[in-house]
Amino acid sequence: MLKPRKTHHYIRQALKNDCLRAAVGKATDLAVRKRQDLVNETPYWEDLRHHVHHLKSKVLENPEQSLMTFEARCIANGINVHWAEDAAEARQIIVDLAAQKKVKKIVKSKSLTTEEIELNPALEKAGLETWETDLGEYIVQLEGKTPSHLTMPALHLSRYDIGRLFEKKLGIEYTDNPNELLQVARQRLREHFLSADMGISGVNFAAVEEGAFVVIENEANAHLSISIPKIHVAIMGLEKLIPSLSDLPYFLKVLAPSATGQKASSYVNIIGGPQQHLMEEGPEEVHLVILDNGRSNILADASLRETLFCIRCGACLNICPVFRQVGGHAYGWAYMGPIGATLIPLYNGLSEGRYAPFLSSLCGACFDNCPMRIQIPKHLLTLRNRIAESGKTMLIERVGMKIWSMLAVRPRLYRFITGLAAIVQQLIPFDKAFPAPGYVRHRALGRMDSKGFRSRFMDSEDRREGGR
Amino acid sequence: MNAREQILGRLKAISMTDPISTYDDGLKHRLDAAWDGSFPDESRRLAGLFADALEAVSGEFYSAASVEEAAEIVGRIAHSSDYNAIVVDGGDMADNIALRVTDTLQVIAIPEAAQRSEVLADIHCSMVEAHWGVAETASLAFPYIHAVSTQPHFLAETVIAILKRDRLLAHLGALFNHLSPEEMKNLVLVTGPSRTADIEKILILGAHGPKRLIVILLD
Repeated sequence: MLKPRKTHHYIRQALKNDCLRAAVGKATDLAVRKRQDLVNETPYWEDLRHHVHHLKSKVLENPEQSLMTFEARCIANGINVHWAEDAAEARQIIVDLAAQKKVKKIVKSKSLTTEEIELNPALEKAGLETWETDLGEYIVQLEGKTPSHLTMPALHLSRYDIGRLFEKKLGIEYTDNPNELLQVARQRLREHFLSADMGISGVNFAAVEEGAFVVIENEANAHLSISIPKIHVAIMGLEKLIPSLSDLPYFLKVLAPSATGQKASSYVNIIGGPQQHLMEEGPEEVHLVILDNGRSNILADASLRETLFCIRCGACLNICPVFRQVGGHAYGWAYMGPIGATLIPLYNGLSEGRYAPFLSSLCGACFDNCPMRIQIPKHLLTLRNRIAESGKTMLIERVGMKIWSMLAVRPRLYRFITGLAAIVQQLIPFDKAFPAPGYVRHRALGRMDSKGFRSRFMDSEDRREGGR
Repeated sequence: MNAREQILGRLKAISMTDPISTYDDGLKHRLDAAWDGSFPDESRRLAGLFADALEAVSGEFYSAASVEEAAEIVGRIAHSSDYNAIVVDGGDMADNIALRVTDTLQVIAIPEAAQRSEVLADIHCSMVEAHWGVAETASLAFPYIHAVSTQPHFLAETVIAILKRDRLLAHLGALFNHLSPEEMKNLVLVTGPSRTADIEKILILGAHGPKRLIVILLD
């Protein structure tokens, strides 16, 4: 997690980086356009959004019962279920499993939950050779950074950056041809798929009724990761539940357009136990780690529990005017964009995540685009209030708001002070505004002697009166 | 108290009594009717929709009136790509078609489990049998209880999938209504060839799985 004071530094860097903003703009524009085309083709899209929201509410209405049923059905299907209170415990479960099974090499498919618990450094520290196999994740692993988008991990890199990275890290001749770069990754990773002892994946959905879970992807890397090694470990946040696999089509129908602008994702893997007894191939053991890491506290919070309905599609990122300017790294954690701005303080505490909810213009586009109908702007406001009430804001902001609120309830004093400021303003030469370092770097501060809201409002009222 | 007990204990204490959203009970019915209503019943029109959806995801579509015609198509594909061997996944129809291409192609059955991945990783072309097809998305369903192996679907560069016309359904909702509980909980759904757009959102086929997915719809 990025330290709060570094957030400003990252944002400033991002705003100066025209290449980053162009790359983010290009990718998100395309995703927004493709999503919108598919939504337009689906006249019952709004009904779908309502329905998947309802299904998620239903399954999380009684989370204890849903999880106990899910666990029992998983065990009946031959899945080993583990529970982890927090990130450290989840990491330890996986590291211990690897040691117990004498695992040397691990292939991983894309999983935001493993990013959340910072699994890779723990595996590497334990001496386990670990390979990300999703192309974007493989690129950021080679770069030594973290993903900058929920579904497009290497969004911040151009093909030229990736060409130079492959040249340096893989010792190949420089190329910026995307197809050639992919062929290099495909060849390298194919060797790892065939020789890995363990495959690790995330979970997109977990079906209570059947005790099965779903892993969705486009590259086929997830299938290869979970079907060739003898051990499959999946990690899921406890909120990933859906009532039943018969409800899955509704989620699939909203996920693919929202995530990648596709009608359907290329591969939907449903895992209901080790496949050895069915096909003499695939994992002999399937382990599922159910992670809390603060989720049960969020579920207990009636006004914010809806944030756990997120299916990590990234649609809110693509449409967000703030994300499009600063990119994903500025948020400083595994989750970014509007939904990340709500999850960061919820998972990491109001103090650590105090800037995140302010990385939003509250324009509401995130809600309009969210396939799960999560009221993100409302949750951001709730969090902003809590952060302000907890006193985790900057001193200057607290003092400023105190002065303003004192004036706002005293209209005469307010008029007197602003009138005084207008007179002082006229003394500043060259029609300049008041000096406000920082504030005016990316925006203009209006002149105090210009016609303000109050007098404009009064004028319009007078005009209306006169018109009657 | 272990992690399980602690987590469940906390969740028990917070079980919700207030529903988060207000929900119109008639909505699911309306939604299902609207989803169903946007598709024709007639199988020939469904096949057209499937073909369009498959082409939209860069797949290739053929229709064959008989096993002989399907074998001829397979032979043509192999010849044009200079393939001299094909792996067959053990489905009855795929085996039947394979029997008719043995004079031009070496037909390889699924290898023993111990060598399977290594052998299949070197094979360029495979022929597999889909259990169901979905017209709306051009998805193919492969329940593991009917499969010998899923590796031919993923390791070969070109995958030829055989789908019987009477196994073509309108949409994903219809598919999950047709699948038995055992079929649906061990399943892979495949829609088009493997793909990535992780480099500057440029679409490239054949990320880690097949570059080509060819579906032969068989009467």
